[in-house]
Amino acid sequence: MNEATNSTVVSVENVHKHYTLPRETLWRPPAKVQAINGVSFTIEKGRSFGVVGESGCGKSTLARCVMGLETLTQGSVSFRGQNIHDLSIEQLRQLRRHFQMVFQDPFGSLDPRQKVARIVAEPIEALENATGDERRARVIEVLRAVGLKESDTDKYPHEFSGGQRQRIAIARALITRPALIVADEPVSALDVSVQAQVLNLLQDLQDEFGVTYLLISHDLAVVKFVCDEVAVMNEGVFVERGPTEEIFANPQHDYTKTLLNAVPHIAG
Amino acid sequence: MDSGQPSFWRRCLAHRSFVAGGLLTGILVLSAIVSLFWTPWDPIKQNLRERFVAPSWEHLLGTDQFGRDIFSIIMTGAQNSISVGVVSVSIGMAFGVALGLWASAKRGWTEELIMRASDFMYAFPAILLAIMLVATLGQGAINAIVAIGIFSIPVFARLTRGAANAIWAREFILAARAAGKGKLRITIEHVLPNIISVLVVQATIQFALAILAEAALSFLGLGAQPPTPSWGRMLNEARSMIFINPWLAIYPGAAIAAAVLGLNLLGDGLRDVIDPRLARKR
Amino acid sequence: MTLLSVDNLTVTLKTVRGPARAVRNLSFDLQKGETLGIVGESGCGKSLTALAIMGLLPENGWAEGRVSLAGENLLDYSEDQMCRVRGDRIGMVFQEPMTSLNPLHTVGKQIAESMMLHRGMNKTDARAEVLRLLDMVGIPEPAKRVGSYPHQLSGGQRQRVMIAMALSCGPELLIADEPTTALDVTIQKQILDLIRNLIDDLGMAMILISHNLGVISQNVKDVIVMYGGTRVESGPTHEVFSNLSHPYSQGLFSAVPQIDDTKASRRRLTTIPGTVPELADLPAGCTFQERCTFVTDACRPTPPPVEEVAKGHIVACLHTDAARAAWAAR
Repeated sequence: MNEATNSTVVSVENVHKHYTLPRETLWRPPAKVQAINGVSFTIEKGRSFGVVGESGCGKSTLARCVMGLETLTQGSVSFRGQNIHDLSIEQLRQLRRHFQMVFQDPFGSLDPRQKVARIVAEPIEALENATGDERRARVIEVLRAVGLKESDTDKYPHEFSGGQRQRIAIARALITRPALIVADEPVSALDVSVQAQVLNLLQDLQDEFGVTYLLISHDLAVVKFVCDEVAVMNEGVFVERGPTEEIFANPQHDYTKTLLNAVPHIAG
Repeated sequence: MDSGQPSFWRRCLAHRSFVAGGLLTGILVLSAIVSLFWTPWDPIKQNLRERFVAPSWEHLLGTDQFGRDIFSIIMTGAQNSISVGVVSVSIGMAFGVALGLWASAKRGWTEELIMRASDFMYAFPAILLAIMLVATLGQGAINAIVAIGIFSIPVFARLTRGAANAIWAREFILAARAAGKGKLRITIEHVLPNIISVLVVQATIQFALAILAEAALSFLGLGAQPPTPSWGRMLNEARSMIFINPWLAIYPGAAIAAAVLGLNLLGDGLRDVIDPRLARKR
Repeated sequence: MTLLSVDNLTVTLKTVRGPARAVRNLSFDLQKGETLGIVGESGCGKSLTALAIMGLLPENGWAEGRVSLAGENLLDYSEDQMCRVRGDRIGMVFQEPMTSLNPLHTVGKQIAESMMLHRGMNKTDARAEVLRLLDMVGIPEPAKRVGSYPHQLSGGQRQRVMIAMALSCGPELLIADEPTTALDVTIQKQILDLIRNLIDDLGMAMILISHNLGVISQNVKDVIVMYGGTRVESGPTHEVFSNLSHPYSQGLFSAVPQIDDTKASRRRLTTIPGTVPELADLPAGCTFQERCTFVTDACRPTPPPVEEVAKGHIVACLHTDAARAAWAAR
């Protein structure tokens, strides 16, 4: 069992998530997808927890469950000691300023019809009562933190490259100074050199703001670089979990070993 | 990096359908506006000494069986068509879009109910529906407009709901939810702006259909009543004159056709400009 | 014997901002049965090179130079002649198997199409051959799968079908454009192993295009690193990766988090400052000048000279010595 201490930011206990697919025929009951089959873990303040696995293992669903964007079939998700599914819709909405999400697709996660200033200000617009000037000041502050300029506030997403858009998404996640940022494949859609910039940025932000990360990725090297602790996920369960160095140096589970072996190394 | 594409208006002007449609529609609108202040002759005043005059500089399209200048009647008839188009499409959009957005945001039973009600209305042939409504409400331009407006509602409801569903599935909506935005705000701030272009294209098409529907109603005597000029009613009046002067039917017919064609071309052009993927040549 | 000889290939695209040189004076030779990798980030021109060889450039693009397949310049071929080459003498595997396969036809039909077209086979013979191919690419129960539609197969299986299609007429050259980028890492390994075994068995030559240094490093004999449409470094894979000599290649290598990096996991990745320039705005001199730490004025006016730093290992840079020294010292 997990021991939640005062510094525990997220506590996930025995979470199960099943989906029913649309019916294929009238005669048979609809098929069920068991996306998550009993996952438990905690993340301490200021740490980075990585979940690595291949497509279909349930890691993205897990991210959404932790964010309270999905209902749970079983189990609980607690943020700073509070079970998020016990809260009313309004209470949960208010709590959201403390945990935010960065999505994978830098092209899809920003509303193409809104300017950057509005996109980045969305969390404070929804959750806090700040005046227009205050909002603008905070938007500029957070854009600078991610390496963008004040002049970028009046532009539209399509005027930026993939890497820059991802920075905008990170800025949006950061603006309410959340305690937790859930990043679902934040660099998968980016070029190698841009990936490096964004990964460095994530580390810098952690150093500067003390943010806690839950990082989801299929890329083992990325997880190894960013995370202190890593869990390997397969078919809805964690097959192995532990400190990053340990797992990568001495993988115990067969699946982890297969995964590590499959990564092409650069010979030379 | 910017999109590297010429601006929206440049692309519009470069598109043949848009330009052709725009010109025709422009003529339609211009006729209506100008005829509010001036027409070559009074379209209502009868002059029985000048019946069936052939086209000349004085009467560009000649005169009808009551000596009225046909050109003036056609011009004034545009007012009727435009007002029908504008008001009925507005009614259709106001209610249809709202219903569609609500259905898409709520899903579940609300969506089912709204969509089935729309299907029910949609299943009626539009003209029949309009006739039924006018028969219940009484003749006249206003009732015709309302009837046509009502039959536009399911069209917009279905379109809006389909387009909105596609937007709800996109990641920036999830991001807005994660940021704490409620459904109503998301609908207004994110969903609606992203589907507006589709709605505008449909609006031009509905406009054309409204003009046709009004012409049909007027032809049956259910639309604008005399003496208000109406292209549809002109067609009806021309029926008995067709062997004496077929042009009395051809002019209003051509006006209706030109208006509908212009609006359809405009809609096509808009759609291609807004979604260039559909317009790519093989 | 030289199978493919590319000589000063230049691909230009017509864009709203004017003509953009997506590939500039690219030259390389490929021997029969050998493997070549082209590595670079998006926009470097690697995919367009493949499309130029296949004669499949988009409507707004055109190629100049020479692409000789066994002596004949493919760029001079008419569309009909190229149709005979595609599928028959050169096979191509694309990145996204879902969009590269027709969702409305069974996989059996799609594989058979090529054979019936180029080899004039009838349906029965083609079907037998399809079963053999499906087995060869490792699809279990080929007889059952032959009638499946693409959406009924997994990503890895679809890619195997694509490979079967590419190999169906026994081409001399296989071009694989990011064949595993859309796949999970374990499937990626299987597919790459499969491709390697097949080309060994069938004696085909291969051009493998990828942005992943690891994939390239393990699967090809020679490599070309591209940036901004030009070759910046090339040579035998092992030699190049052991002694990276171009500032861009070095930057690329440093920017990738390494899984077997034994140093503390929290060190910063070295990044290449700036971003890839627009193709229409490429500088006249070295394409990398705006982002290079070794840049001097001499780099700006003309493209850099090509220098051979080791046997077969070629670098296009004025400051190779400085770059190599810095790399060795890190």
